[in-house]
Amino acid sequence: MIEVRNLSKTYGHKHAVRNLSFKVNEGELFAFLGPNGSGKSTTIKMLTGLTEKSSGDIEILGQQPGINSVSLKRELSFVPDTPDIMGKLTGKEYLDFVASVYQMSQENYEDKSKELLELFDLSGALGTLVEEYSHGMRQKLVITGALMHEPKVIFMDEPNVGLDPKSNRNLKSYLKKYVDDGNTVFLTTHTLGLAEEIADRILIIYEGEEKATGTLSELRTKSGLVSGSLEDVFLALIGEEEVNVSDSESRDSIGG
Amino acid sequence: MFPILKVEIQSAVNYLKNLRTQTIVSLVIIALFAVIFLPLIIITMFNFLLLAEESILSSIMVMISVLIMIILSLITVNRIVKDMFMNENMQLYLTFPVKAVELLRAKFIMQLFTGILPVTIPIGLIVGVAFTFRYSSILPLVSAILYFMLLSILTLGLSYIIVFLVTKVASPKKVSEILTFIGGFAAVLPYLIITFGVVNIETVIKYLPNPAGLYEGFIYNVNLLEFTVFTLLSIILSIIIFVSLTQVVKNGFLKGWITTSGRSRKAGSTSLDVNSVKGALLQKDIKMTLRDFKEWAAVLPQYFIPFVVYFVAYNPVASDGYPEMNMDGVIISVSITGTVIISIFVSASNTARDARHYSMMRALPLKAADIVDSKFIYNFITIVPVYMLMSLGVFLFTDVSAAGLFYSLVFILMTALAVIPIGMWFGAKFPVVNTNKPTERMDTGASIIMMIVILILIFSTGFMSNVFIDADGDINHRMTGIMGVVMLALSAGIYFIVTKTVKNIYHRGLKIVYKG
Repeated sequence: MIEVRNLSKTYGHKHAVRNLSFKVNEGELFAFLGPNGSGKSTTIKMLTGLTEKSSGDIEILGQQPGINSVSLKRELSFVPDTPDIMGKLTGKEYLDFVASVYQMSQENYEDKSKELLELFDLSGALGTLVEEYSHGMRQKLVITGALMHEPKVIFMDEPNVGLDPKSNRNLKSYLKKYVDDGNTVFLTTHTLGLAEEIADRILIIYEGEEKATGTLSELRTKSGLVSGSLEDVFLALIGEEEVNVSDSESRDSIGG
Repeated sequence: MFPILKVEIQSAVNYLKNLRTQTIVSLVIIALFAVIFLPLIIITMFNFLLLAEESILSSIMVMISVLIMIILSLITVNRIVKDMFMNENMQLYLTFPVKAVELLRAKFIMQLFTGILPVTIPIGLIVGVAFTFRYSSILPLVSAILYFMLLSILTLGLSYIIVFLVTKVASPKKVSEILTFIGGFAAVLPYLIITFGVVNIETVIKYLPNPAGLYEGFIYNVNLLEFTVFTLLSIILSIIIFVSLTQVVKNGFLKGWITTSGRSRKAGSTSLDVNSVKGALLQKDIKMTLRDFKEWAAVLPQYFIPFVVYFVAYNPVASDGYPEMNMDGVIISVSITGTVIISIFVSASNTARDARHYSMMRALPLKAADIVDSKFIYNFITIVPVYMLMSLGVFLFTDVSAAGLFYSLVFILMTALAVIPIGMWFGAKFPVVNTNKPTERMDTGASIIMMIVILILIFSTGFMSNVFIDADGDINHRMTGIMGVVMLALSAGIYFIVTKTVKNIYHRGLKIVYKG
């Protein structure tokens, strides 16, 4: 479904992503985790054709993604980390635009958008300009737009930021059912609880390089932890230790 | 108050330190124009105040004061909306252990010293020095500066009153858009002032109130008693207004008189509709333009430029006493130059606008050809009918012949066909996204090139009009026909070549410069 081989991206002399290789299977929810600046967004942008790769190969549904791969894009969706959509359109007009671009049938569009708008409690805001939406509402509108044409693969960059608890729960349920139906989700998030709850497999990237890939139990083994949450595993794998606040305070207080 | 003031000043200094080379070049060009025109304006104003009849001096002061208050308060309202509502550092400041009053004083001082006083104090100096020479006394210099300082604080107060009123009915963002639109419209004012104002200034003054009691004895023809009273009064009033303003604005913020969100309004129906890809792109562009006053602000001045040419050509006073030009020649040549001007600017601006949402657009299954074709249609329908109506208006109100109108409409069509793709090329090749200044969409260098092309075209309009007229003052149908055929071939060629180039730019992906 998604196959990445030796993918690299450099900006001048800076390596944003180095020799990244992984495979995501059909019907899988794949979480792509890493600290800030580790190369998550750059990778997701290369996968969706928004940024050109420096080297390596990407194959999605047997095709190479790129700016002009229109037929591939019809099978994909992307939810960016910032819902920067045209503020001067109403929610309805934005969805009309997306449905038209994906060439959905009128009937399919009405059915799917109705389902998703109810799921995210957006039906009442359709006639309002997007610029008057809160961040969370924009995010829900973008997610609705991304899901309604039923893409085979969906890329989500921090989709749950700004979502209220009810919408967050509904999104999780929807995504679980969505992958059960044979579709694929590629997700980046800093909410490790979300990944722990819904991801089938997890890749941890650090300073542009893959640290580990596998299920949570496989990652535990790789990190040398017998038990522990994904947060513990994540911190162990990237070699970051929790700062003991009381220790540092006491050091400060004695001038150390 | 001082730590906030220090941060605000530091922020302004950092902004200046980090100006891009191209912005510096533009500022230098503006400064050069200022160096040329400012001494002229200063000398004219100085001589006018020195030599005008004493009976109209109060009217002149009223005119200067009213103009200052109207223009500066409009500019200041826009700044207040951006500074106090849209810039989130206001919220951040309020979380620090500082009093709201101190924060507001710091903001007021910055708004006064960086926005209002740099305009009012030089004007006060010109008025003061002129009256000092006229009445051989130094007192008018002091009183003029004090008066213009009071006027500055009044302008700031007026601006806040406008902010209080307008944010009751619209969101700050909408207010900012409308004011930007007014600012764009105000760009037409210099043309009007040059053509109408200078010629008719004495008539304008006659209609203004003449409150001699307010200014005589204090600003001009000064006597010591009135000077002392008004000086003290100015200082006391300035302090009272400044302190009251702080309290009123503080209450406005803390008690919720000023709404930060405005009234939410439904903008349209909620029935869902699928369209064709090009239709969807076209609808998106039309709605984004119709609902955004910033768009209007960006393009309106260009729509008005041909009117200046028509006015100069038709009005013997404005054309400095030269005989009237042949209007048939004028309408045909303006239809070419005007369409070039508007097509380049509007098409470039509309195309570069997509850069802001480019990530989203790029992720969608859109073909470069669909984007470019829909953008061409959008530009065509926003430019050609407007210019055709303009020509029709000129035909109805002047002595243009039916043949002149016909040629004008044909040349508008052909010129737009060729120049819209060129404008789109500029927009696709040099797009800029500036988060602090949404109306800046294009690379400064490209904007300067376009401006130079436009200036050349404006100056060549008069020459060009002679090409279409024969020695008897009638339309030279043979020459106009030849020009038409040449233009048709050229336009068709340019349309196909440049549109293909623009499609290739989209095919490879836009290279956007991010600022702000």
